[in-house]
Amino acid sequence: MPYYLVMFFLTILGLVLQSTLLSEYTVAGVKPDLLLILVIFNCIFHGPYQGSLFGFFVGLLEDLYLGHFIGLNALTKGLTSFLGGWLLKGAFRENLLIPVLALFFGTLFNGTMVFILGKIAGINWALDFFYWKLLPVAIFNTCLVPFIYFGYYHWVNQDMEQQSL
Amino acid sequence: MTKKQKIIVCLLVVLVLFFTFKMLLNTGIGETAAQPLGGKIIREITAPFQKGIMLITTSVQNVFGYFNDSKQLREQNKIMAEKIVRLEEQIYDLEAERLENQRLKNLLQYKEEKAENYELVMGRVIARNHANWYEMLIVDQGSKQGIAPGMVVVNHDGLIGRIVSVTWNTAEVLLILDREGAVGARIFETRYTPGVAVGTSNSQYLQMIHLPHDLPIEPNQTVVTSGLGGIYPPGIRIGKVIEVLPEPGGLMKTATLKPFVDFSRLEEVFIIKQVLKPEDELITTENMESEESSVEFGGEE
Repeated sequence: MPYYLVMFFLTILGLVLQSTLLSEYTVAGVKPDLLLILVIFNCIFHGPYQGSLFGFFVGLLEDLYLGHFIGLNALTKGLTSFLGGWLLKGAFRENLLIPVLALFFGTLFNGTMVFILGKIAGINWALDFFYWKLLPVAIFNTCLVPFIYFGYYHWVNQDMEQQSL
Repeated sequence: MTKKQKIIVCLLVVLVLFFTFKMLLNTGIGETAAQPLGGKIIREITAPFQKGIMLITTSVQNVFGYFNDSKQLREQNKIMAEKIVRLEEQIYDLEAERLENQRLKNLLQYKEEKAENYELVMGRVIARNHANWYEMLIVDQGSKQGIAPGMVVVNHDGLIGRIVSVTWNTAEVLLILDREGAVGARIFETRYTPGVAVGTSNSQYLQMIHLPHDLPIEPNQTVVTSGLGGIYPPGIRIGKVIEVLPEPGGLMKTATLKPFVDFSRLEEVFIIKQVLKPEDELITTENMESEESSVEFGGEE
C-alpha cells in the first residue's frame, strides 16, 4: 500500500483517537498530539519538503475537522516539519535520541507557533499556556516515542526497500 | 528542477501560505460561517469510528467502574458504620439526658408541691445492695449535709425507705422492700389502718399480713403511710393493692401491694430532713388521739 495512503489512514485514526479514547484518559489535563508525532516522524525520514507538505495537509485536515481557525495547524505543522526535516537532514535516525529530541523540541516549537498565530488570529490565550498546556504535551509526546518509533522505523525502511527494488 | 519551475513553486507556496493565513483569520470561533465542505466530509467519515471507540471506551470504563464503585461503596460503608456508631452514642447520651431531665423535673415538681410539708434534700444513688441480705441503697448525702439515721427517703412516686446509717458524705437507705423496713400502712380510700406493709423475700412486692377477714380491702386501693410507729410521716404513698388472698384457716387475709416506686430504676431521691406539716394531719391527729401518744418524725430510731 502506498506510504502516504497509510499515513492518511493513520492521520484519520489519530484524529479519531484524540477525540475519543485519549480525551477520556488525559494526563495532567492534556492528551498527546498524535498527528504531530506522525508529522515529525515523517519529516525525519522524508526531509523538509515532503515533510512540510505532509505536515501542512495533516494540519489542514485537523483544522477542517475542528471547523474553526482553519489554517492554524496547517501552517504550524507545515512549518514545524519543514524546520525539523531541515535540521535533521542526514541525522542518525537509528538513534532513539533523534526522534525523542525532535518530538520534544518540535512540540515546543509547534506550540509556540500555535500560540503566536492564535494570538494574531485573536485567541485569548494567557502565557501560562506554556506551562500548563505546551510543556505537558511535549513531555507526553516524547514519552510515547519509544513505543511508536521502532515500529514506524521498520515499516518505513521496508517501504523504502520495496520502492528501491 | 529549472530555475523557472523553482520560482513557480515558491510563488505557489507563498500563495498557499497567504490564503491559509487569510483563512485562519476569517474562521475564528466567533465567526459564524458554515463548516467547510472538507471539514464536513472528515467529520462524517470519522463519526462512525468515534462512535465505535466511544462505545468500547464507555463499556471498558463501566467494567472498571464497577470494581471502582464497589471499592468506593466499601469505603463509604465503613465511614457510614463509624458515623452510625457515633450517632448512636449521641442518641444514647441525649436519651440519658432526656430521662434525667424528666426525672429531675418530676422531683422538682414534687419538691415544689411538698414545700409546705417537708424540708427535702436531694440525694443521688451512688450504690445499691452491697450485700445479699438487705435491700439497701447508698446516697451521696451524709452527716455533713445534716442527714441523720431515721430520716425518711421518698421520691415523686412515693415512699422509698429510711436512712439507717450515715457517714460524712453518704447515707445508707433501708428500702421498704426489706423485711426489716416494715411501714405502718393505711388504706387511703377507706382510711382504715389495718397494720403494716412489709417486704417479701426476693420480690419487688410488699405484703400486708394478718388482716381481719372482714376488712374492706380490695385490689386497686391505694395504701399510704399511717404515721404510726413514729418513723414515717403519715400520708406518703406506698403502693397499690393488687391481690387479696385468705390465709390458711380463713380468719385472716393477706394483701399484696405493688409499690409506686420503681426500685430498680432509682437514681435521685429526696431525704425528708424535717417534717413541717404532715400530709394527712386529720387522720394522724385522730390516730394519735386514739393511740394517746405523740409521734416524732425523722428522729433517731
